[in-house]
Amino acid sequence: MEVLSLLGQGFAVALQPINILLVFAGALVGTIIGMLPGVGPINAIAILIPITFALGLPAESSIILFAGIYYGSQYGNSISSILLNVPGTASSVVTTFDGYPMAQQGRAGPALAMSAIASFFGGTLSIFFLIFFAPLLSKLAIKFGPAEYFVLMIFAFTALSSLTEGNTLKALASALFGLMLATVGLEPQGTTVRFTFGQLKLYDGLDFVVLVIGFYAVSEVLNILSETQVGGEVRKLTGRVMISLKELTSSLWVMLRSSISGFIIGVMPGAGATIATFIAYSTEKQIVDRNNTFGKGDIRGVAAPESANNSAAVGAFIPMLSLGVPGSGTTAVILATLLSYGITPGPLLMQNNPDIFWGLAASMYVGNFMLLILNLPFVGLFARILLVPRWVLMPIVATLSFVGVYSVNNSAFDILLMTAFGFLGLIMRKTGFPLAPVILGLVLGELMEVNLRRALNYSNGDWSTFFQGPIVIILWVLTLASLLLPLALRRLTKRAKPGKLQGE
Amino acid sequence: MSDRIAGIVILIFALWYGFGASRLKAGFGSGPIGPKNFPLMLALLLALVAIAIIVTGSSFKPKWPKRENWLDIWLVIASFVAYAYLIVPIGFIAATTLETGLVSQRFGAKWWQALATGFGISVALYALFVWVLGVSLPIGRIFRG
Repeated sequence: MEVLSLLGQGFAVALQPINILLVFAGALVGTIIGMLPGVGPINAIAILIPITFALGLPAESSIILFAGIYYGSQYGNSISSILLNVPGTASSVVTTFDGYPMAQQGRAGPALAMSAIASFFGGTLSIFFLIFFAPLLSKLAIKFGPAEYFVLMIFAFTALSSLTEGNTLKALASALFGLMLATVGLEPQGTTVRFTFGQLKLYDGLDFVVLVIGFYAVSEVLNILSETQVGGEVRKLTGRVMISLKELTSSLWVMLRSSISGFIIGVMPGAGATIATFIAYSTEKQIVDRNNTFGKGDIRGVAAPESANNSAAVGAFIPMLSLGVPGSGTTAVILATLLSYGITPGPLLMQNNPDIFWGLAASMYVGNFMLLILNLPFVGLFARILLVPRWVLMPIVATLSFVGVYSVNNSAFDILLMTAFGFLGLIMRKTGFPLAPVILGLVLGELMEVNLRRALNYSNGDWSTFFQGPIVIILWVLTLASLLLPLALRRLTKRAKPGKLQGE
Repeated sequence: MSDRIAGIVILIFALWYGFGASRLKAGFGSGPIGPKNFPLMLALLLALVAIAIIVTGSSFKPKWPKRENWLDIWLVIASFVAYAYLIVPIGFIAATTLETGLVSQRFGAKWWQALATGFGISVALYALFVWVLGVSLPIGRIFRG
């Protein structure tokens, strides 16, 4: 019963007044930004990083806040899918398939209620899995040396690249570009300065916050500006946000299966919440769709993706926390935050910083209960935010980006840098190069180089160290498999429409 | 076709980066591999990926903005650059009001709506950041007298 006492310790952290407040803030912000098309959790977290530093929050509090934004966005994203037919984030694209038809039929209430309940179901069930599996994986990872870590990171990149929507080669190019950006500045454990072009401000490397805000938030503002908008009509929320017991019981097995598959997919580096929703939906279509009602307003078609994406969002924390290798853009940003506190996630995290792991797990329970309340009785209030015109919303995103970037170093140079990367991000979006691998590369670049050098130091420069030992071999096999997997997956998700939104 | 062009641009970038990396000199105590090995590896891999992109090609068609949208984009980017140079001299509130107002106007607000939005947002954020969060933002050199 060691787990229970540790979890109790976690609740002692999560239930501190400041942390309760932060979970609530995370849930609230997460629901809102999840709901708003074009603003994803990465933007919100990147903008908040300098603020958490300014407030002097301890590491566990920052993580509790950021995680709350991430899983909170998985609740909110279905609101616009259902009412607007526009997914709030990429992981609620699937929710539009049945959610919007339900709204058209005047059943927006049950759809929203189902979405909140399924999110809660997936969100809380997966925390059990997190508590169970993360320590196991940590025990395994404790045997990892630098060579293992180096190959593991290669696996993280190939998995993310092959599972990102679109061309795998382009995703690999994005990842390599991110790694190159990480080499700017003073080299790790060395004296040589690289790629600074004589700019003193670049000696410390490119600031992570500046880059992420530029790449995601600024390029998104420019991207929305570049599209002549076809204004969607917001469906009125008619009737109460309730579902009948029959609708709920019909979805029970759907939610259970989707939560389990969503979690497994979430743990896999690179896969993440979006793919989890596509797989859950197509699986359930094959299992329960006997009368061919999926896509025409079947409530189970809402239950499947919404339980899957919340479960996957929690699962995504496992590789980040227990291996120190994130598998998605959002968890990469959270990892970068921990690193800047001087905390290196990995197998020793649970021993050295139990408050972070168990506090986070406990806070997820608290957060999910808050989200259930926010998204059931109060969903009507949130739906009104969709009526706020874009000429108010977009300037807010732009201005928050400025303040976030400026407050990092009080430097106007950073605003120029942010603008340049915002433009580059726009070009990459338009030409189909995914942004998440760039962020992952930027975060992992230094760790990767350090592990490469360490491994070669141990082996006296013998490169065969990367091909010796069972763990390394398994990781190489996984790397190869990840490059072949998309062919199989593409067949599974062929029916589903390609996601237009990036960033999860 | 556009993928091939992108591939060529990436290839040139990889070569340029690799050339820069090859001229790096190692400091003391670098161990078996110095500061240039990892960047050179990256350059080589990126060059290979770029060649693969050029060779395979694809039917991908980018959705480039229309001309009037490009105008908006350039205007907003120019205003970001101007903002970077104006924030210290004229201060956060004035610079942000102008900047935010412009963005708002480009997103379809009438000019008085845009100005009101800009002013509202900048005052609200100034209050939030300076008074609540304790982040310092420039007041403006011209107001110091």
